[in-house]
Amino acid sequence: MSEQMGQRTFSRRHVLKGLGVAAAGLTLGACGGNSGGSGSKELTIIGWSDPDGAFKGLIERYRKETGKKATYLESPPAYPDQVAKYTNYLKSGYDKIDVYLLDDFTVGNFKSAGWIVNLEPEISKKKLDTFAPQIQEYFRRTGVYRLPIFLGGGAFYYRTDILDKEGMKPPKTWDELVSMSKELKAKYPGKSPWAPMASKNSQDVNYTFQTILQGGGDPKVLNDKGSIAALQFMHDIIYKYKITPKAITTYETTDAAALAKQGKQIMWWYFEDGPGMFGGKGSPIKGKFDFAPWPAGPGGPKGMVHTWGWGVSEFSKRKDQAIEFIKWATEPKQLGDFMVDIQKRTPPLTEMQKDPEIQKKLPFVTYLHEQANNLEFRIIDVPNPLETNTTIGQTGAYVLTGEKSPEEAANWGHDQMKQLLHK
Amino acid sequence: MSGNTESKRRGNSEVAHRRKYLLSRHSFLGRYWYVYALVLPAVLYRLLWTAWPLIQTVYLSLTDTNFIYGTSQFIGFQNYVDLMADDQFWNSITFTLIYAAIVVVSTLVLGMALALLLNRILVGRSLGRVVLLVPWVIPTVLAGIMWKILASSVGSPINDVLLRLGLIDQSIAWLSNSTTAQIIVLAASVWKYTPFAALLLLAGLGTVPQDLYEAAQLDGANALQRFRHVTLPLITPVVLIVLIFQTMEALRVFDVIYGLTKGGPGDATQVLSYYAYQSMFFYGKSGYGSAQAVIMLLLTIAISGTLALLLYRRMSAEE
Repeated sequence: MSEQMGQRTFSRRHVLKGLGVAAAGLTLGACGGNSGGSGSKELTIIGWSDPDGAFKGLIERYRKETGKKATYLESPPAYPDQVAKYTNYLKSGYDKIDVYLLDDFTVGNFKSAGWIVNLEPEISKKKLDTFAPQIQEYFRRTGVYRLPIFLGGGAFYYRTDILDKEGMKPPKTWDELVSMSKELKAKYPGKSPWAPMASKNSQDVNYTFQTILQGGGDPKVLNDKGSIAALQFMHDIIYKYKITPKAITTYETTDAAALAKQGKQIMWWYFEDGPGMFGGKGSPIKGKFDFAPWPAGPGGPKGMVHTWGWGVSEFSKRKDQAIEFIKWATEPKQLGDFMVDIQKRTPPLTEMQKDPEIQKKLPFVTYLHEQANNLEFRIIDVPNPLETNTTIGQTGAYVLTGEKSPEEAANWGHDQMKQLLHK
Repeated sequence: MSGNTESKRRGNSEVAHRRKYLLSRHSFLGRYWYVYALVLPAVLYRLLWTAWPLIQTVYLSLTDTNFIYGTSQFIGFQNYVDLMADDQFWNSITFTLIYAAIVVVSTLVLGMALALLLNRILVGRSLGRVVLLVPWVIPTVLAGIMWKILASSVGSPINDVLLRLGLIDQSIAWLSNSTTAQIIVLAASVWKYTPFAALLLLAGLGTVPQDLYEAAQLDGANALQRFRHVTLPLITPVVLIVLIFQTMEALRVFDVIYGLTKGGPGDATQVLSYYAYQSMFFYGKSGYGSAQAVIMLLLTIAISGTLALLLYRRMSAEE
């Protein structure tokens, strides 16, 4: 400041000096902050979005029972966004997130990249043996890099009130599905008779995989006779029989759930949490739906089985605590409260699946047991399951959008798969 | 020998003298060194966040870096060779170029129309400018999501309006068909980027002297002739600036695609930037994705650079 005539005036130099000090202060302050919300002893766990508070409730119980704090972060609901977010964190070696909720693909990718902890030395054989046979098979094929919180799969859902009214039973074959759908389309013009979800890089993978199995095809080959038959079927239900809307290429689980609850779908496919989703309080179709085995193609009534589970970041500075958390979170009591009662998904433990009370609460448990020979994991025992399975989805997507014919799509998929599987 | 020594001594003395002069108070550098000192941190910061990632990306594009397989070997131009044989790459480049051409031309034409309209009205011009800015200030990803809702197959307001007007007899699944999905992507982008073009052009129109219009009118020129012979020549530099900005924006489009279609259905709306993103973050192919990013950069430089050269020549001709 300069003093002139008893008054203080600011010169440009002083202003610049002041701004420079302020900017330096702000920059230093920003550098000192951290995100992720964890102190030195607080775990940070990232998982699904949590509208019903199931995960946050689990974290709260953890705090009460163990006295240890944990923070729960919600990942984006859309699967591709979730993958990108997890990848960003782990690729950069971010150490503020300790536990990730991983699906069958991300666990494979992250395991290959060395980003998640191998849990086999950390978890006792006794504990691993408590998991259901399908999960133990999964462990044998891929190793133990996460502890599953449920065992689920895709099933064929239908409106019982509409089918009963028309004197129909759930279709057992592709041909029955087509003939029933044609009849239902004529009688219920505002509803889609058969609307399988097939959103890009997400449900298109699951839908194409299941249909290829039903066609008797090999998802690792894609241009064998069975796969081409499956792709042809996927093409025909939209373009030849017109029983399925083209819009299915945008249907995610949220869309499928919304449309089913709005009564706009007669037959659709969904996951193991369908009974809870469609039969929950306030659902307009409560008591008016059921699920059944998939209609069989030449390969049988095949479907998929899958899990999600807790994995520990290799970059975590609290690995021991993280491992203790996932062991705790996969005990029967926690799974009962959080998975069975709130999320309404099939628990991954054998004893829980045998429990008559749980079987009564979750009819999907019985479905999993009865269909055990017809349900398969997607391609999981490869270094890059994400790209491998996305290729299957892309193959199906080309057919569903009409961009390629079934043969062209099958050959494209085969070429891609050959390169991927031979790396 | 002594001559050589003498000339060498004279040369060294001249260098020392020049250095002394440059650092003295009398030289430009000596008088204004603090200007460079103040600007240097910003320049270094900019270089750090722009040049270094660019160098890294170029280097990565010459390797087979893949975080899934844990590879990171130098492979020269193999990624670029593989790209030439990649159908998805050509598909994404084709759509990117078509997208850029349509969006740039549309935003320019619509932007010009809006600018001319706003330039004529006296009442409500400020309000018009504010309303015009609304699409531009909405984050692009949110704009994509918004258009996704507008074009959804269930409860779509677009379908509702068209049904009520009798233009269609059943709802269109806009995002499930390749052609209609592309139309929606283009419409969303034109809606988003036209305000920026309009504002720049409006500013340009404000610099055209009114007496030129009066003179043209006196000479019997109609509105179209006045636009062609008075307005357009005088705002050509602004038009070129708009073209440069819009072209760069269109060629590197990502957010609209991310929010609206994620490149689907199938690959119908796949653009190069999104394909590069998928390669890097979904499939772990950092080297391959980086090669795509480098190609996108070169494409942007080539096209925008050509426009910038045109602008430079135009401005030089005026001088």
